[in-house]
Amino acid sequence: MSLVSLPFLIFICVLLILYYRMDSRHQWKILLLAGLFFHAWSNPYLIIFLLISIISTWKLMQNPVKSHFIWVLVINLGILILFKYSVNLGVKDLAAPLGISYYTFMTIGYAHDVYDRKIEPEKDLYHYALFVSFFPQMTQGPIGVYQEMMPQLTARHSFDMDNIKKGAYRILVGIFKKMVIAGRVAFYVDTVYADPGSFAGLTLIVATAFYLIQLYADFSGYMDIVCGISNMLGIDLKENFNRPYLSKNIPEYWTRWHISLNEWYKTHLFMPAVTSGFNRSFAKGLGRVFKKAKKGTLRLILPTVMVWVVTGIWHGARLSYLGWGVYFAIVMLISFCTQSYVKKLNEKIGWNRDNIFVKIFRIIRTLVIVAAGEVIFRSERFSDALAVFRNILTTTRINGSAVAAAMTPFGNGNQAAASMLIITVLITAQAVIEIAKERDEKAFTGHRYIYAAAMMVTIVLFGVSGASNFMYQAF
Amino acid sequence: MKKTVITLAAAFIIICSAVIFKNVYSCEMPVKNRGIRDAINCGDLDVLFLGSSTFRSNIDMPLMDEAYDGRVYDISYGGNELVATVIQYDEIKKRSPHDYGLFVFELGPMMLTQDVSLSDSRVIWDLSWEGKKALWERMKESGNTDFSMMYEYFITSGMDDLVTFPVTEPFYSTRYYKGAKTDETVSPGREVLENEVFDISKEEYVDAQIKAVSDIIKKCREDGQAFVFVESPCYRRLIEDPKYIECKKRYIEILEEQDAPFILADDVDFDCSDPDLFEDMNHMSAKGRRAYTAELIKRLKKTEEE
Amino acid sequence: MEELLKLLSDIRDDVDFENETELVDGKILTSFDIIQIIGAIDDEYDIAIPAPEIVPKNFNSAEAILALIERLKG
Repeated sequence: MSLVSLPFLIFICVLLILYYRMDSRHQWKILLLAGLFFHAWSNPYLIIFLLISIISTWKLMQNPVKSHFIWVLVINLGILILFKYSVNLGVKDLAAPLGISYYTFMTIGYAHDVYDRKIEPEKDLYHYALFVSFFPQMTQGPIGVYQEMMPQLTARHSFDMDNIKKGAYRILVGIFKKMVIAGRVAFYVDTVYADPGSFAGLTLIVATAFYLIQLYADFSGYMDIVCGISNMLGIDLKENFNRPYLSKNIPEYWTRWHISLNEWYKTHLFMPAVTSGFNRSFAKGLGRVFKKAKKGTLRLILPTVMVWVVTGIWHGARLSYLGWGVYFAIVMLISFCTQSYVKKLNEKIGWNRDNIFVKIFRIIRTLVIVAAGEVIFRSERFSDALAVFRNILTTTRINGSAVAAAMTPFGNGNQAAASMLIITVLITAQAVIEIAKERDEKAFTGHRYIYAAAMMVTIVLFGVSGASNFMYQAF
Repeated sequence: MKKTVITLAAAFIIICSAVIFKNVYSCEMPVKNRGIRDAINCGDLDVLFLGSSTFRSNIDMPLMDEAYDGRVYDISYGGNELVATVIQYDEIKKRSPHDYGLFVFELGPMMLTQDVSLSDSRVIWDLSWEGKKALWERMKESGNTDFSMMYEYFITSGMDDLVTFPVTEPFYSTRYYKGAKTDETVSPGREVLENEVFDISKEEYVDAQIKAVSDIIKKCREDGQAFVFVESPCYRRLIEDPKYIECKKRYIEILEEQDAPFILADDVDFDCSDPDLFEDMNHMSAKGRRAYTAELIKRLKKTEEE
Repeated sequence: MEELLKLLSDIRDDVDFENETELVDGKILTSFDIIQIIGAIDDEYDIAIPAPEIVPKNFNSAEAILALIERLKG
């Protein structure tokens, strides 16, 4: 069920009542049942795959030998690949079990950590099942790490009104970001990217900027809702976003965006790849050719390419996703390989990294690089992405008619200016609320009530849950 | 706890006030140069147009002003359909104490195939609370309404404009004069017009729209209101489209059955195949609207004499 | 130890490897720094550091790194 819906609201209310009414020793059991129920709600038959994964992984990893670990990988990845790439195998419309990408990763993470002897295998099947099926993070993460989550999941939670208020506020922020901001710009972005070649440069720039905002507002908003729900249950999930658009370079960006996924890749794919025998030989071989290369850099090449290709196709079986992955692989490699040269260059030209203008420059440069990558990601076809770049470079003008044209994708020509104004105000408001959130995380201070009221009003009066019902008709 | 209650109460009160204000008073907002309220403020009129964006772009107001001594107005909304037109007519008659020499309705053949829906939030913006309810009832009768539509209709539609009114209204109002567009639009050229893609072959009649034509005629006759239906010329490719011709025939049938007066595109000296005169399939360029309006005035004056 | 310190400062010349004891926990070294250190150690001492040994405890100070190297050598 959708997190912003009436059935879910009822589900949460019932859950909270049961959760805090019963003996706190058994709270985790309620969570487990809730998770299974939540998963089954979307499609009762597909829960069988979740159960297969849970039971087989738990059983196999009780004895963490290599062959068992490989079986775990085969079973889990096999099911995942089957569902995700069934289209490529010619099977259409195969609905996937809810959250399969996420719970598969959590499962593999657990198995890998047990195999590496970082943690002991979980003795209790039902505790393990709770880890995998914890419902707030089921649909879009964050990807939980077993050793971080278990203590919280099985602990006793006493009712604390502060948690409820904190959680409710966080949910409100999430709904605001998703429904008011992301929902509104989505229409603009969809209109332009449906046929990007026919729009002028300025409109494309605005659409791309809106797309970056949409991605952030939609995804981080969803995370806010998820974390808010968990707060209400007395559980703290790790943050998935940390002001990503203020990153000064691309490697930093990827430590601030979808943090749990990137950390998962680092721990379970990147590091093993770096220390693998194959990579070691490859890097040593390269080292004989590029004798002057810094000792660690050559080791990063193969793992970086591998991780980014996997990241790309993890999003789905589309060429633009793979292209996006390759793009960032190249960007990251350039970033590593030129690190020392850039440093020397900076010293030569007196580039002071603490200078505010330098900081702003670096932030904007990072945003432009990210935006280019997202254009590739968003475009239906590669030719569309090329059209976007070409039009931006050749047809961008700043004059009255270009500005007027840039407003028209807001659908209804009459309302365009008003919508543009409103969305600008709202995005600014979101920034204010987010910065305030960071500053007073601990206390639920007074002005939050004002923000909460403002958000409620805005959500009701300006919220969008999909395209407008009333489409302009041509005649 | 107290603070939470106050917050919720405050939010609730603000929301209700905004929604009630918008629904009841939007029609009283000082919108300039277009809309029902502005039209009523112009007093007695010789000619009052009531139609869709076609009328909005294809009537040249300065020329009409000259011909009728300023006693003209053009009420038009994007995608305006006939059921809404009936309600708009009712609204004008109810709110206006003035006399209207001639009501000009739009003979748009494709309007017979339009869903009863809200095409432009300005439509409900201009209506009084009763008018808003009436239009919603008509939409419900046609059967394609649901909760999210109702929510948008009564709560979010037009909120953007309401909240940004002081800033956006001056901007919008400069583009209209007595309801007609004042932009100096140009034709995109023969190539574009000849190749613009449109497909109306699958359109089907909507009963409510067909009935609405008769409703308009009946109401005008009951009120003793002189009226005429005018087909605005559209680009050759559209006016020669078989579906368009079929719908036009049907429309004319309805009008002739009830002896209603009408002026077709053919009845006016205007070249539909000249790409210079059009911005797209049904909207004229500035040059086109001036040419058309001059001829339309001649025809209207002739009708008056008859 | 001398050799090791030189190797480390080649990678990050702005870090005081001699005295720091919270290199990882204190977020002074990034994961890319760690990878470069691993690579450098491999090239210099011909030691492949296995994945399970890449934990904060082993990299928090120059002493810890040296101890790791000694352990894997022997």
